[in-house]
Amino acid sequence: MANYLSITDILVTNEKVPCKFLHDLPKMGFMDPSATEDDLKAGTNVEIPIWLAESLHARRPPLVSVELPKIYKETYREILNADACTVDMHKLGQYFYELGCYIAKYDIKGEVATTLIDTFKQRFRMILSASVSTDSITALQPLSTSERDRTAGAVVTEKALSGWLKRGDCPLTTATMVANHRKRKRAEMEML
Amino acid sequence: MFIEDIRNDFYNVVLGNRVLLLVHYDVDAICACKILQDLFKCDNISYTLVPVGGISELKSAYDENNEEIKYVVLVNCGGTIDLVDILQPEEDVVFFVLDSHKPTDICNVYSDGQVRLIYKDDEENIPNFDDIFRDEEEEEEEEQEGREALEAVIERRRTRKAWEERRHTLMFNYTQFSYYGKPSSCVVLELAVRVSRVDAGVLWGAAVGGSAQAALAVRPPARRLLDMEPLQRHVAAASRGDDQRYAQVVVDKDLNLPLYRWWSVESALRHAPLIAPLLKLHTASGNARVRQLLADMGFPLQQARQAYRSMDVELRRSLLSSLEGVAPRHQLPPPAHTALLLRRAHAPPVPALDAVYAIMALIEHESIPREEGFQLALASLQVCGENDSLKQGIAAAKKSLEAVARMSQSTLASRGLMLAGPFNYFIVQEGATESLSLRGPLWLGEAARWAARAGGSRRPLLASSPLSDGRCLLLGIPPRFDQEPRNLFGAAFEQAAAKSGASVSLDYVDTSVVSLPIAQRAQFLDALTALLA
Amino acid sequence: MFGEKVIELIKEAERNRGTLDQFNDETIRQIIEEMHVLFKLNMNDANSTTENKSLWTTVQVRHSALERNKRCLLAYLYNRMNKIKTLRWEFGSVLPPDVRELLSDGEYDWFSKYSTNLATYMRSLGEDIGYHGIDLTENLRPPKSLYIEVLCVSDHGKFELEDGDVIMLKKNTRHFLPASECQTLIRKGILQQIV
Repeated sequence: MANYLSITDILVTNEKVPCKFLHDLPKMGFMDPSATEDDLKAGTNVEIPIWLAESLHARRPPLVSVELPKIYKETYREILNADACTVDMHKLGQYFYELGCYIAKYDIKGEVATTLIDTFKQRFRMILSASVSTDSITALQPLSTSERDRTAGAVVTEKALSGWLKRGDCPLTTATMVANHRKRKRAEMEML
Repeated sequence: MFIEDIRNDFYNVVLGNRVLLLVHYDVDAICACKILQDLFKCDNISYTLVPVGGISELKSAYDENNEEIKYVVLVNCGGTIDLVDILQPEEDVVFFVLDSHKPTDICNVYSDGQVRLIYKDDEENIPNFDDIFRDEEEEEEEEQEGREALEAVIERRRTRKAWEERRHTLMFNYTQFSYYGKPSSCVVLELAVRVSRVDAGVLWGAAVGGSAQAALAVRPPARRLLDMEPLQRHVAAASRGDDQRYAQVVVDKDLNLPLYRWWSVESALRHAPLIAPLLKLHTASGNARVRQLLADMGFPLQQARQAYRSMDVELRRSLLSSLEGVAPRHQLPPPAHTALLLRRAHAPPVPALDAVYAIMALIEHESIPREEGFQLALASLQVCGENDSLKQGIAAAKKSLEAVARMSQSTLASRGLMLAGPFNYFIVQEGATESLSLRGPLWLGEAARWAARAGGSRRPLLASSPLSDGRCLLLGIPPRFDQEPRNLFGAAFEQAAAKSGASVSLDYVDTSVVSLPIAQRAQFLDALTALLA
Repeated sequence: MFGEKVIELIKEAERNRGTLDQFNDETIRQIIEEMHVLFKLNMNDANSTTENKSLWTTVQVRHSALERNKRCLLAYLYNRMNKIKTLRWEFGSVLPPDVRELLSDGEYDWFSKYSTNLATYMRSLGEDIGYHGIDLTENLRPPKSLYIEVLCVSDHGKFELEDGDVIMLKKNTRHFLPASECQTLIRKGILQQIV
């Protein structure tokens, strides 16, 4: 799923997860903010980004063991299973789904995976029905980044369809990048 | 020169060529422009459209756009000035002038083909060619010896002097009054009929342009009827066709209350330019009079204050008849008139009068600049589709009418209407809230007419309102303007400007409107008083 | 912590998805320096690992950090490359000067080469039938009418039509012109079609 050059993926893998170091790591003491020595002892719990956790976990023997972050643990899973649509996804985690996919690999019981799928199904239905009109969009609870992208795409498609139905022809428009560039320039001018 | 056949000598000439369209900022011009645009689009005549506000703007627009242009069409501008002299065009550029401002400049009338006037008004008394222009070469004759030669020379000089005096009188009589001729949109309607491209859009444009003349009181009532007669004929012919059309222009009896469908009945009565001034709302008894009027009509006050759409259906239907019945008792003019309405499926009918005020408000808006307002006004004449600009215009028109009413009432209440010799005048103070709405000649004129009607005395009235940058606008309306709208202020302003030495800018196409620095206003008014006494 | 500078770079790219930002030369140089430092540390530790096995894990960590930096830099450049490609399709082969200064020299080189490639390709289309190529960057939707009405949104000065007529494009003037002439200017945002 990870595209090497995908920016979204890079931002996702930057999220931190709690890990336990299984070996000593000399000179890596700065990773643990509460450590006093230069070396990182085995058994310390540190929050490190996933990219580091994954690559350290992949070495033979694994140097860390990954634990589940708070939002994928029991309590939150219960909340999501109860009603996923009312959850403030932006606060919970901007990259909830993508991060969850990485985490699910370390979950022995496999419950994280099921929770992810159920949450997605519920929220997708809600987004789909809301995207038809602009008022409902603003009334939605805050969304995660991927949901926001999908919503924006849905709005654009709706508008295009209704415009086509009403008018039937397509007037020539300014190229999108040109329009964005101008808008930014104008905003910059106003700030000066 | 005048064009004989509008289709062959104007339309067929510009077919296949590029045209420069210069349009003035007024309702009639915008309507005529819209119809012309539709015609040009059907025949793929490419054009460039530039709105102009005054003579200097006309000149700059012409200078910028005149490369490779052979045909220039001027709508409601350029008729009253010597075009060839002011614009200095090339030899082969042809100007087609469609201007309802009269009197037409003599040089334009007797031009030899470069300036072509599209419509000849019968009511103009254009002096003959020989009376105005005399061949100067007759003067240069060889000198003859002897007494006969001397007598002949004296004789020639005498006839020359007599001719010049006659010319002077003729020109004075000709240019003394400025007035309006047939609306340009009706002329263009004739053209559309000749090329068989009349549809609801064209009829609506002509309807709005024609109603503008009535609303702004620039044509005597008899001539107004004559102007609208062909339009009503065509509307009747169009409606005789199949009636399953999306948009239709119909003739109907309607109330002469602008915007009443988008307002409440009471507000419409308070702001109607024909009725409200006579209710004398600036006096203490004004409000009581309004309430009495509503009571006589059988309208409960609460209903009258509600938006028209949410009023009781029965009351809505009876509005016309009840107001008609009550009007004589309160000395009001008959409130109903034959109006043209645009009827569309799934939308309330739009009277042409409302569209007139909407366009006026869009081109002289408080915040929207003139050029954008022009584009919006053109869009608001669209007959099919969602018309957001019309709604915007109506909302703006409501605000402007309120400002006009407030201004006139406060002027009259505070005795701001001052007498000065043969005319009255009032001045809008610089800091007043309404001064922003009354910045343009159209709305200031509306305020002046309001004050004249409310003031009662029928003397000529001058109104002045501040512009930006220390200048002010000054315009004059004649006495009894609804019967006899010939305006002598045009010529008077010119002479007073020369006498008083104020730096008056005679830039506006309508000569009864001038602008001058505020500091010199007083001396200008004195000079004017002395002139007209 | 490792990899924080690069994340700034990536966040910058993500913030403005619709437009291009200035090429962040400064940050990139800092990141490359950081990578050099890490590499040197690693070399030292790797050479000494032959005696002390425990340093091996440290080397692992640093190596992951290096790879992370590399990945982020590549992603940043790739993302910019895509945006520059869109620039060619939307702005045309000549960039306005304020857009030009957003690109680094290397990127501008790439842009010119891409432009040439595209032009050669477009010219080759339809050669066998006798056309001199089709301009794919223009509007690809079939027009509904020969002439369209346009409103000029900003001053552009003189514009010459195919048959020699010169039009002055000033703000708020309307024109009625053949559709084929107006297309480029509409794409550039100088004219706006009126329906």
